[in-house]
Amino acid sequence: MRAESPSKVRVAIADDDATQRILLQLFVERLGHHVAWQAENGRQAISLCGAERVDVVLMDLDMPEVDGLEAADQISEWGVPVVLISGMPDSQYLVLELEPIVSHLTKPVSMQTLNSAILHALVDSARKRLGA
Amino acid sequence: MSTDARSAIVDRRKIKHDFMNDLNSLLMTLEALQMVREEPDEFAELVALMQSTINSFVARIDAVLKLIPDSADPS
Repeated sequence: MRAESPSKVRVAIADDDATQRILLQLFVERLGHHVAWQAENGRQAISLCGAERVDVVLMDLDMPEVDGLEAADQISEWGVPVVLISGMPDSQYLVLELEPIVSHLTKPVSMQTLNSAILHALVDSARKRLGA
Repeated sequence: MSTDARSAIVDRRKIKHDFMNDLNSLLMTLEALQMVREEPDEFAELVALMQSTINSFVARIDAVLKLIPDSADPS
């Protein structure tokens, strides 16, 4: 296994759509980050997050078995920031104010908005660790 | 609510979810194609991905169209 640079941000992707996972991975890697793992549903995301710590999780809202909100709830308890991504424009009103979501993106996700969301998640996470 | 009505709502939601996923994938692939336009291998992979998404999208449209009757009965 190739060792990743310790300076790279470790990002996880959870989405039930394989094409979305491929595209998000491409975007994340082009931003200079490392994709640590990918999950096809919320249950798998919780399991993988418990096994391998990441810096931020990109989580699709609408997934089978365990949905994105439920998985985010569990994962954020471990101190991992979650960026929720949804394909339904109206869903932002449902989740915008809910903890533990750090930020919410609506598909189609651009490189620029993804970068901003990841950086925001990292800053928010650091603030929480420092108790600010 | 009847089981049929509940199933219809779930099906509509799933159809909408799948349609939106395909559309969003196409839009994101367009951005990705611009990003890798100088890299032939990556470009070819993304074009294949886009073709696959378009095929999936067409199949979904076809499946929905099959649910619509050929013609309305005027009587």
